[in-house]
Amino acid sequence: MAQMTYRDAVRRALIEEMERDERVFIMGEEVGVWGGTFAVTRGMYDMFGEKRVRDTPISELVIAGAAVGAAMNGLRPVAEIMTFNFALLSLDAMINHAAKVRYMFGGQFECPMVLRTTSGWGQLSATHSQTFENYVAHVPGLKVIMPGTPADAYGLLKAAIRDPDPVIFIEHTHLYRVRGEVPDEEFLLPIGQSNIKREGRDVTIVAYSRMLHEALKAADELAKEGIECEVVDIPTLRPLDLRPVVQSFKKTYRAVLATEQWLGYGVDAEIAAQIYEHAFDYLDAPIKRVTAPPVPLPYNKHLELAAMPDKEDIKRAVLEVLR
Amino acid sequence: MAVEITLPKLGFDMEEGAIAAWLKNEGDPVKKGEVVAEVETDKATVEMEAPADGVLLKILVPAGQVVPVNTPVALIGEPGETIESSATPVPAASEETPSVAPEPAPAATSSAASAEGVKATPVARRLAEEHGVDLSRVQGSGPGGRITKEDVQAHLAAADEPPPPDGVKASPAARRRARELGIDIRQVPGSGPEGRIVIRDVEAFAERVAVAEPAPAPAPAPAAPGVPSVPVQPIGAAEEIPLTRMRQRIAEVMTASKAPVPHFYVTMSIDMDAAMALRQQINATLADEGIKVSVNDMIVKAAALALRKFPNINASFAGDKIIRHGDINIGIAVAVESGLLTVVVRNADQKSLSQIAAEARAKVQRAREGKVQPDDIGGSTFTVSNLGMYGVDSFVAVITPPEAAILAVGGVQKVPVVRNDEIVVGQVLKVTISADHRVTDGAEAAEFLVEFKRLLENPMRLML
Repeated sequence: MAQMTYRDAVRRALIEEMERDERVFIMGEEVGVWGGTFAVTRGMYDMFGEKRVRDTPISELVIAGAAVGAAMNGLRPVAEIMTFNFALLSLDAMINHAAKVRYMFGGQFECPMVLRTTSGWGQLSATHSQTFENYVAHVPGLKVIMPGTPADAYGLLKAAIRDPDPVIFIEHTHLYRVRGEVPDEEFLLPIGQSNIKREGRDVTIVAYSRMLHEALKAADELAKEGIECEVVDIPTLRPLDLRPVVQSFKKTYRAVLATEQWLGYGVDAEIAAQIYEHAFDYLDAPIKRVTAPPVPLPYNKHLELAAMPDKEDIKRAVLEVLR
Repeated sequence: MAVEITLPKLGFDMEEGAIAAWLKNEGDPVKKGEVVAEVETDKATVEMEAPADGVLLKILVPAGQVVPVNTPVALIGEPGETIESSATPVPAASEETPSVAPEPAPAATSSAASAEGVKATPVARRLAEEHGVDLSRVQGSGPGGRITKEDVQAHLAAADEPPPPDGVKASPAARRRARELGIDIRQVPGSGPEGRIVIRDVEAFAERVAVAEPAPAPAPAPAAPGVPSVPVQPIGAAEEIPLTRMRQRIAEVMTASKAPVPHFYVTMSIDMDAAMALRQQINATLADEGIKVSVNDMIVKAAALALRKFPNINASFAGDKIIRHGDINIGIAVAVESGLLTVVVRNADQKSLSQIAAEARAKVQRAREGKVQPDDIGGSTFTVSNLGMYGVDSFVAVITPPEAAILAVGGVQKVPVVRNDEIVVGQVLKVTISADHRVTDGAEAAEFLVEFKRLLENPMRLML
């Protein structure tokens, strides 16, 4: 089994799917000649040519709209939007078109496209450091994936490309260099399946994407103090599979939900509501959310680090729910 | 290597306690067996001895703070020894978080001044003073547990909250587990934030109930001791007296007795002429040895001997069975400054009157001085409560669970009695047994009193 970076895992999935199915093509800003802002598609322009690795104008609505049209007409587009901040401009195509095609045409058309984009921050200032997975996870008709590990990124991107419905696939810029084991043989992972990444008896921590790693680090450190956290990863945000979360909660009676979202109306709130609905009689303490504070992210490095949640925030939250 | 002093368990049902006073300061040399502190339990103040020679390196729990049993309270070591940083943190005990009654509005207490030694920001301190908040009751969330403005505000907000519908703050998980285990959640002390009862509290409570041999009967749930049965309005210029731990404990135990235990009462008069004469004789004989037998000592002995014949009264109701205890341990109720205590004379049926007299006198005296030793209390199987010294004729007592009966003893009164068809001056004692109807019945209780009477009216039997 090979150790592979998250970036290479995404890249491997793209290459394999393009080799497998010639209907699959990539388009986006600087994905071709330049090789992608985050170098995910580097070299692919030379491998597949400009017809299948297409540079586009700087217009996110054009990118998404063209992808919807191509998908409705039988292709398998993988559109890349540099970051979710810019993907806001593509939401009309995604929500009013991509998400509605199957419903409004009574199943006569489908929209098998993937919109790849990123979440992330790092002195990019307030308008370039946001993530809106909750905006799209809210929309029926869309599937939303936010993988935390290289293996999940690989297996889920391949599944997303083969899925008959529009999928928004959100990578995290801090994870591109993270290494993890990815089996050499080809595999797909089911969309809409959450996984227990670490077993424990005291607290259930639910996390995804970068916060999964912070949760695992927090769990390692708390284990030294005798506190065993169960960490549940939810790589698919829609459709959301909370069975492992509820099962875990029925064992631990306490939960910490960790996301990079602003506090309020987030994925965390949805998870909390579902725990209340499905495991009310197992609640032993209020569910604790670890999020970013509801402020535009500061540019200043120290303020930015203070604002973004990390393992220390998770540890504090765990200790609080265990009081 | 430093030696920990832990809070001793002084009695089988002791769960927490406080250091009443440290008699040694940090840095003081101590000898093994030397008294270093006084421990206040809900029953008494007991001396705590040093487990080793050395220097009192560190006091981990200041006087007055309530902590669970076995919590390390201090460290003893070599002079100059450094203390490992992993010194066990002190878990909070449940005392400051009433699990039953809604917290009184903070303004009603005048304890804001007791915030000495509490870490708080200046703003938090000012806010606490303005609102009369006792900072020692506020959980700090700042660095090193410092209390911040937000903590005080949260405390104030929590105090304003109406209590939950049944007056108990408990998590849904705790409520579910309590339902499953058939436990009345109002009986469970809460250890969570703001006194919330959490699932571990219910499970610990269930375990304790199972361990304390006589399981409480699946009887109708008694009212929680902290909840007045009707709302109380102060009338006139009322004074509010905070409950001492002992008063609290008495309230709990008595409520846990009177409501679920179906009491019945049988009274009997006993001719004490012979007993009083014998007592005089004994005391005259043993005066040189400093032994003085009291009427109560004779009652204790008579009760113990009678219980030998009536093992069903030396018993406890245990839900699906009755446990007849092997030992006959007679409790003697003692009025003390802040309430009452029961000291115990173990195996009283096997002890001589003079032994009982010496033992009871020492234990009663220690109880009155608040210096009881662990062996003085706990484990009684039958209690004698005597109000004779107040000139009481007769009265009725509440059973101390899990015992099955208690004997309420009045004073020996000179009254006209009919003897050989003549009215003469007799010395009469009235006793009333309160018994648990789940264990025994009126006839058996009456037969027990007949035996008890026979022993006292033929007091030589007490000497055999």
